[in-house]
Amino acid sequence: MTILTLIPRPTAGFQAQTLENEVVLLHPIQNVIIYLNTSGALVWSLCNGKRSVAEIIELLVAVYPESEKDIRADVQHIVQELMGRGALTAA
Amino acid sequence: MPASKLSRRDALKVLAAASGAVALSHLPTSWGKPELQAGVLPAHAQTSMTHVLSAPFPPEEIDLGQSYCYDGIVIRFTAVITPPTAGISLQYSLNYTASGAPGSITVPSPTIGTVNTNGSGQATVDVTVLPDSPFFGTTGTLTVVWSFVNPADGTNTVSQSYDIEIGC
Amino acid sequence: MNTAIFVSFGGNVIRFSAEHPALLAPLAVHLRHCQSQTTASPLSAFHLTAISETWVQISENGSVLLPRLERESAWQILMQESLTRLNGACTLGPVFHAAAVQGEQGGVILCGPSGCGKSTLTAWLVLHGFCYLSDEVILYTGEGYISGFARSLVLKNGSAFILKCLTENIQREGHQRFSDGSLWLAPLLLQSIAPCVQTLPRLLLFPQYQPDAPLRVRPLSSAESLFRLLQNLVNARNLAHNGLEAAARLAHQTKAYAVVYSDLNAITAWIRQTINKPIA
Repeated sequence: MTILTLIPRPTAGFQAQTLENEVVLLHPIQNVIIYLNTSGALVWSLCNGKRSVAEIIELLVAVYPESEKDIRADVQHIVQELMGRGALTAA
Repeated sequence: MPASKLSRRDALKVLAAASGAVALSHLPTSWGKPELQAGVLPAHAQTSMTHVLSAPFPPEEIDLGQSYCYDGIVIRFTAVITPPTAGISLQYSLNYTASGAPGSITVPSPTIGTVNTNGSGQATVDVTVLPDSPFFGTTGTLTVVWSFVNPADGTNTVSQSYDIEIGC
Repeated sequence: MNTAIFVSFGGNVIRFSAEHPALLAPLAVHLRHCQSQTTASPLSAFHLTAISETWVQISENGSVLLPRLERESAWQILMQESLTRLNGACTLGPVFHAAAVQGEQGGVILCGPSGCGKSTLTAWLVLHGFCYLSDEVILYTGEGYISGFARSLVLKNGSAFILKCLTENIQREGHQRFSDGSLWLAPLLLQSIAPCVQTLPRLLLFPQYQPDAPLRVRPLSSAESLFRLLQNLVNARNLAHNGLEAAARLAHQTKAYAVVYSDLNAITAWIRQTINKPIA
């Protein structure tokens, strides 16, 4: 299974606060705080436990076709980082 | 969901709905590199706590059943911080001054290092002093100076000494 | 003769007592502006007992807490304990590890971890006309205001240059030097009026002192500001949604900057200029 086939969803217990298209995540039990800029927040919002990483990439590429190469690398990287921090779980 | 089947218009709708953007115009106009910063919520009620370092326990000899002449003597030094807090990094600096037959600190190496306090606010270091010659033993004074690694945790220092006499 | 003082912050009270007023004198001076009119139901009652010329004992609620320590250590610990207990129990709103002063146009919050230079910068700003609120913790209320724990400023070893500006005042009562080089400095040595009770914040700064660094200022988005605020939120567990929404209101309400500085005159001038700008 590659990261592209994973279907990520927010890990239970994370609270999210959106401010001006950016997001701050807080897990009060794990004492974790995460800041995501606009693009990071966009990826986070698309991780709903129903879409695969590949589908998230395709959605973003459809909107920002001029950045296809960057999006393919960036989405995989940020999903991995969010999973590494415990904020996303594979559904 | 192959890209060829997804129009930009449909993708925009999905993005706007997912991100909670009330209008499509609120979505970013171009793609930027995602950025993640991670931090921690401070421990309950934690602020700039100043601790006080002390050494209320006398150094103690640890008996490992070893031969003092060949394996050396082990002395345990303990420092205590008040209020008791776990995870405060303390620095130890060790010195052995021989007044008779020479000897050396073999453990720990190097003789300057750090150790974290436990939940009781205590930090310990076990020090081995070995005679330079197993035939002559060693006599001298072992000293440790404790200090805070981070001045924000506290700033005082304490020292402890233990007189060693190994006759071989 | 028993004597006692009551200290309050964030809706809670702590009681300090001793057999003799001299044992409590430094706390009475340096917690003067935090003293409470309310004496009922303190969270904790600390009592100091002299066991020799040098050594004292601290009891809490009738039980021995620390059996034997030097007087100055006892004062330092009790000063710290008053903060820790009061912060930890506060349910009125988010309490942040931050200093605050008030200028003519509103409040300035200096938020950051120990060692970032909060107290020194606060002392400097107060010395240059800003009104003192706190050098250590602030409470953000639902009405958009902040209040501070107006204890004496605690300057660590290294802020000695601040004292050069106080050569006339320093002989007066109101400062306490400690053997570790730290200093408690009563706000009335730096300003002629009592500390401000509350203020509407206009600027939220995350300062970082860096020797010899030129002044560098970076505006922060509201989310970046919230991210930094949460790392200094000390009573999250007492609050609805762990204080996330309340902290977000402060982040949204107040223009925030990350500031690296070494020159106190330069940052003071920048703060004056920025706080006077009309809100966009």
